[in-house]
Amino acid sequence: MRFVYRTTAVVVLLWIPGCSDGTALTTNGTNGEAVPWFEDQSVQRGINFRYESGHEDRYLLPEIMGGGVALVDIDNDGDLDAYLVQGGKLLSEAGPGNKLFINRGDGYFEERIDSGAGVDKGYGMGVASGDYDNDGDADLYVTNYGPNVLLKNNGNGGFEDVSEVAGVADEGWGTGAAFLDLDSDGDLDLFVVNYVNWSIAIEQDCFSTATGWSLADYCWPTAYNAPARDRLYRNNGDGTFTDVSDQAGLDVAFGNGLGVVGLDADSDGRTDVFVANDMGENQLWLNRGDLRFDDEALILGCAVDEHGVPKSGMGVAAVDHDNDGDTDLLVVNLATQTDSFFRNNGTYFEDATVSVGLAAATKRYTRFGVALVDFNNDSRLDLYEANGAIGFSRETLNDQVYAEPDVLLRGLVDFRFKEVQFQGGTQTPLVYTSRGMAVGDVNNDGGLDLLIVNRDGPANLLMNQISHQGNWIRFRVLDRHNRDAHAARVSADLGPIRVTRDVQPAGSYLASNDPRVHLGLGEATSVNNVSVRWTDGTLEHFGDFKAGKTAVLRYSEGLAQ
Amino acid sequence: MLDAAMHVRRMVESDKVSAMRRCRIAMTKNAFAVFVLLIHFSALMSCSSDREDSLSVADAPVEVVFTDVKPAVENLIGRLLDNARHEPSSGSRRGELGMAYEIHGFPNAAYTSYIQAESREPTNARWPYFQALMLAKLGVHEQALAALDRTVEIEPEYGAAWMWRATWSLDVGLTGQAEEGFERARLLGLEAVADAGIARLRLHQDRPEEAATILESLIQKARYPSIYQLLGRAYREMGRVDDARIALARGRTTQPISWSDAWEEEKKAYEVGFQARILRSQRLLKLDRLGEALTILEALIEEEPGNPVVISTLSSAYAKSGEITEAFLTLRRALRRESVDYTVHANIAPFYENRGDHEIALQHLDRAIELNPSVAFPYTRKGLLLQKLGRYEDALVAFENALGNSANDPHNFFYAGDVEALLQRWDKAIYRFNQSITVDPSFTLGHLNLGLALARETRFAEARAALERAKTLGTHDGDVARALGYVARLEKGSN
Repeated sequence: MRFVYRTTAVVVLLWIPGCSDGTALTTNGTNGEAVPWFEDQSVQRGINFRYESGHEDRYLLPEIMGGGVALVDIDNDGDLDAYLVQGGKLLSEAGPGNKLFINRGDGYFEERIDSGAGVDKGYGMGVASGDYDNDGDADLYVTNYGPNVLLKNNGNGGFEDVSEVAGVADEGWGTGAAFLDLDSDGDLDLFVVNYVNWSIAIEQDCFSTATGWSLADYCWPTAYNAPARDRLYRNNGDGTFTDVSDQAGLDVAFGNGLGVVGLDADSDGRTDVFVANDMGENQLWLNRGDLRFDDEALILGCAVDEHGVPKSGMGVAAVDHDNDGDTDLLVVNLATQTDSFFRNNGTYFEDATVSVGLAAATKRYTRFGVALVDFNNDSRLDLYEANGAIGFSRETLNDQVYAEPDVLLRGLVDFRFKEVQFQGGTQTPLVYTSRGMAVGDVNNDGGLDLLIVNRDGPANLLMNQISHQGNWIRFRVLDRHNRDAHAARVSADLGPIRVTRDVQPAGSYLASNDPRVHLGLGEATSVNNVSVRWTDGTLEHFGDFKAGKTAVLRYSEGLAQ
Repeated sequence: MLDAAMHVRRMVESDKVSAMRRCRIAMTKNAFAVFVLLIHFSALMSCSSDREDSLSVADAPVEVVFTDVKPAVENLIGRLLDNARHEPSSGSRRGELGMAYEIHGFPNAAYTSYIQAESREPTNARWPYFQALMLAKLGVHEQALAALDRTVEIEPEYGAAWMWRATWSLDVGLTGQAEEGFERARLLGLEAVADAGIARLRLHQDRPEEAATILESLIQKARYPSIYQLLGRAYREMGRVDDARIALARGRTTQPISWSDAWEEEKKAYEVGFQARILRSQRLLKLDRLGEALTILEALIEEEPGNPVVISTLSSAYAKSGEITEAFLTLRRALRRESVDYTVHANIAPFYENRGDHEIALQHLDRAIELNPSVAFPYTRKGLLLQKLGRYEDALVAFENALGNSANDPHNFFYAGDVEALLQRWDKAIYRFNQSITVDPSFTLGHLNLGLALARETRFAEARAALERAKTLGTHDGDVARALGYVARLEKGSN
């Protein structure tokens, strides 16, 4: 009988008072502090999904890492559908299959069983979405332990597995993936992150560090000494891809890769790729053109933390947090490690984790899914982190020995963060072993919602309850092929501030997010001087827009500069 | 949550009445409300003068109910509990119990025990110190600093406490307090780490030139990766990008800067778990405390004769002690077991190689690769052996397999380049040497051999530049001079 403490670490940390001013984390603040920000409505809205890790007796590493989720408009009807990646029994030939839930239009979902989207029976990890064949509908790339799968959307509600034909059935342990036009030729290339060169034959007997190494548990990824190489597939424009990883220069740096996001880190107009690695240096692959990349994370200050130590990077978010026109990075890490907030100062990145108030608030749990977006529409970015341990301690929270509560912090005027009163933003804390998390507005009410996959637990669909506290505007940014323009940069004047956001479905952990660009406006009723920098370098101006709607910004319909 | 806390408050209040009652922490969430309240009280301590009363709330030693724990752990904690019960007013007994709890994954029980220890032995600075370290792990730096304040009030001469005080102060932006802490630590004998702390503080203060001056001096005395890492940051902020690249490459580390901490070392005596003892033996090996390492390892191999980590570590320990035969026999005994880990095969191969039994060595390396094809080092060893035997193409295949499994070490790129050079395939050699210095710009062998390969391709200016970089990075002057002479002869011959 395993030793178990039933505890509420929430209580522990919410009851630690600060001596300096007597205010605790539980102090009521203004605008949203006194009400829950989210409500889990997964059951009533039809998201019926449970990620099965398949754990039995032995501790097999893939069991503790999955699964992923996508919020993407599959049927092109203007609302977000949901695709959830399933695990299963690691050693069996086929798992239960992934699930597709179609949005009825009002934020309520119905499972679509015969679409072919569940044809992939691999031991699922994550998912990326993008219209790789420029035919006007979103396709899906599912990463597995084992061969990855490319599901081509046939536009009629169905999917076809074209992995072999396309040449992207990478057999490594895939985790994060991103569709990005890295050579600016108008089609989406594919960057695939791999975790560890793991197989059952090399699994080891490891022990929980939190128990003084006296109880069996999952191994750290470094126990295998087998970091995996990532892959870059160039889209050939004809439905096939070519593996150009070596030519691109990816063969000089391996890592235990998990999170991935595209961004223009050096503002040179080319899309770069950031990879968060677990127990290893992060990588920032700077795009030099012609699909050649250099890993410059170390020299640019986003490889390791302020103490020079690599952390255990899981999920990642990339956004211009301080409205200075360049993209900052947030990597979420293991318990006892703070988040890593890398502020882009225009030349390199500085570890600003402490100065934005993310040190103490984030060390308690192991963070996976991450969303750095404006939930309450007050024009400041808030932070949601979906948590779950990877090793157990003797003091657990419920029967799920790896379960942890989530964390929600609201963004403040000075770009710092402060934890909200309700742990994780819900009336009662959600305590699960959370992994993949996608953010998007599923009921198109102007509030960003969250869909979270939990290991051996039900998925959570957290519906935003406070978006009405501010105005908002959203942009659907479409390139010349009428597909979401991944990595295009939208800028707008919000009063005296110039706000910049990228079209960025990739990010978080094993997830694909709403590709629409959302701006919370606070009390402002419009944004002015909206512009888009497309990935081919073109800059177009689209003028002013009133709040409260989703506007379409289409390539060549603006005023080119 | 509020109700649970109030319930426990009443429970604890009733415990005060019955001071000798055993405090059994039940397997309910109330247990952690106790912990919460005790943290609450300890935090209040730093703000109020009612500290004494607050600390006496739970008199009995903290007891955890557990099963499925190794006998050695259970026996240890049982013994320490008995000690604490028999000496109820002893702070040391509570503190020992706390250390054992902390080591073996009972943080709340540990923290409570430290509080009890402090209440009984208020002149022992260890107890608030250990509380501080636990609070810092949770990221509660304000409370951690408050506990450190109590520590240095009792023991103002403990350098490690000042270093932590300075470090955490800097982490939360209290630069004045940080500077004071580093200076105190410096005066107490921790000059190197304190200077590194001051340099980090200067970087925070946007004074990179001052930081660089401190670090350049420090690096002459202490070539720790963390120092190079800070120096790299300073150079970067000064715009010296090339110097920054090299310093940062040398600054690669997996551990933050650390300092001696005798009080923390005391906790290691309570490491009785199997895995903990393995790690302890490996730490001792690194410190060249071979006798102590061997004592632990010889006991471990008796307990688990098939454990591959114990086998490898024990063999390494014998080898380091000069007992080569015993090192070899440890591995050979392991080979007779039913299930053999790949590391045994990979580690025994060099013994056969050294004896000249090259084919047997290769067989063992092949078997290691068969058992675990995902790890680079057996391929690397195989490649080096094949190269030694003059089987260059086979060596190249092995190195390329190593590179396919791990690209983060410049040596495999270098080895592949070296073989290409032996095969006089200079363009490929240049490619591989370039990759080695891409992975690690401070890799002197890469620069040196790149220079020589470039010269063979009559790219003499580039060759000289590469050799100059090698010299700047610290390659022996004689090696560089010989290489430059070689380049000069080639250039003369080509004209």
